[in-house]
Amino acid sequence: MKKIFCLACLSFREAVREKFFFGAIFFFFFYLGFCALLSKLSVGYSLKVLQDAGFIGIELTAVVLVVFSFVTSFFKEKETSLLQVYLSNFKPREVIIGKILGYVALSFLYLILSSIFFGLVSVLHAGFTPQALVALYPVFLKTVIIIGFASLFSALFSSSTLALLATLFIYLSSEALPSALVIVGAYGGLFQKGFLRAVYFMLPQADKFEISNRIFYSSAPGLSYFFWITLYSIIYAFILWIINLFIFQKNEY
Amino acid sequence: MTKIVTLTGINKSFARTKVLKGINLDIFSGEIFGLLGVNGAGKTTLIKALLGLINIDSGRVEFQGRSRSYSDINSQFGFLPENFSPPKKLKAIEFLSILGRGLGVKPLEAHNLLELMGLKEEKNKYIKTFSRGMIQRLGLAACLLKSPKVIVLDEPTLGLDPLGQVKVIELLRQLNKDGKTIFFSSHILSQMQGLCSRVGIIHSGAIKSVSKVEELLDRYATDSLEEAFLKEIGGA
Repeated sequence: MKKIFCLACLSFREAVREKFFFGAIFFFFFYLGFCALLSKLSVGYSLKVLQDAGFIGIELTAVVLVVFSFVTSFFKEKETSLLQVYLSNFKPREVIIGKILGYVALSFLYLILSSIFFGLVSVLHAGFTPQALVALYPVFLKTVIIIGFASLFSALFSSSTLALLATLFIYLSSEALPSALVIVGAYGGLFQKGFLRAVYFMLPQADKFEISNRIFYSSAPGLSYFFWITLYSIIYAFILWIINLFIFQKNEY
Repeated sequence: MTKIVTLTGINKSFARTKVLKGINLDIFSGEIFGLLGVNGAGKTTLIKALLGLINIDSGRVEFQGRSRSYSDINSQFGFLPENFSPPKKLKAIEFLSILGRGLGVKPLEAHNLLELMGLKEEKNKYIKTFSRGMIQRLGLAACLLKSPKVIVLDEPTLGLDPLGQVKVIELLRQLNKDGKTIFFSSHILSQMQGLCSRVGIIHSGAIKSVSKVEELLDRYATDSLEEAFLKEIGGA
């Protein structure tokens, strides 16, 4: 455990000092300013516009940050032989899980910082709903799964561009699938319905992680939701890690 | 002297190219073994095979008379790869002490190693400000953290200026005096001559010869290792 923690610590410290991290924070800061302006212009819907746009911004920047940081760092470590040094000191499973945990910590830190900015802007412009912050927990879980995919594709592909594109493709597909299912459910054939349902069950089910609307406009989900979504994420991330480990051990460095 | 590492019948191919062809090699405890070879001879691949970083097609790697395991590599082998570069956004002491903590080493050891490598003054500097020579010495410190029995170095002086090369060579001598077995690859022959107990010559993926430096020189009646090497591989 100590070995994993140390590798996570090295990855986290490196990532938190990278330009990507500061870039994501600055981008989000300006994006929030834009959202605040948009909410002022949307008379009668100020709070709704700010909350919806703000949450989308938090999730998108968090996903882009962790995916880009993880993949570039992984390939840089391969290129600079740092990965070989780690593998001569630690077991492959420790290396992978340490790296993943470092980026999970990065995602957590980023979500905390971005929610603070979001809270401040909400207070200043349209009022603040503290319960809204609860909706960030599933976003965090979603980024954990996406980091798992980034790690898997980094081990699978020899090109960082391919790994980046594949991870972003998985994220976008999982986001688009619930809507696609509705459309195909109404107009599609039997094969299309079956195929999309199978893909929906295989990819992370993005709609299950989306609770911000329920929190803003009705009531927050109960504790059982948080238990099941956490369990789902842990199992999903674990399966990804097992596949990742298998590929990682087969690879040559 | 007792055998510490034994490589038997190591074969490795990349696609259809045979990179290692039935390598047999013994490394003895407490020696400095130099692996000589031109670029593309198979030096790095052999080192990776020794450390389990690549999957060999056939053959056997033994450590102290038994099959070499992951835990042997993790605890008894220190490795400094070619073109090593640590995380540049970290400070030298930060990198070394965190890595050391993971290896169960006390923080004081990281400080001592930096001092041994002549990096005491630079310990609180970011690695991105380090020269190539300083990075190599930091890499050596990292591979000594767990106090390994065998130190494996792939082209440790590559890209260093003459002063940097001398410093690294001196450090290797010092480590050997402290009882470490050193296995290193290089194609800079002048460094090998006064440093290695034995040298192995690898050419086109096969070991051409393994002998003491003096024996190799005597065989070709020369006092230049470069000349003997070229004659051995049939290049002169």
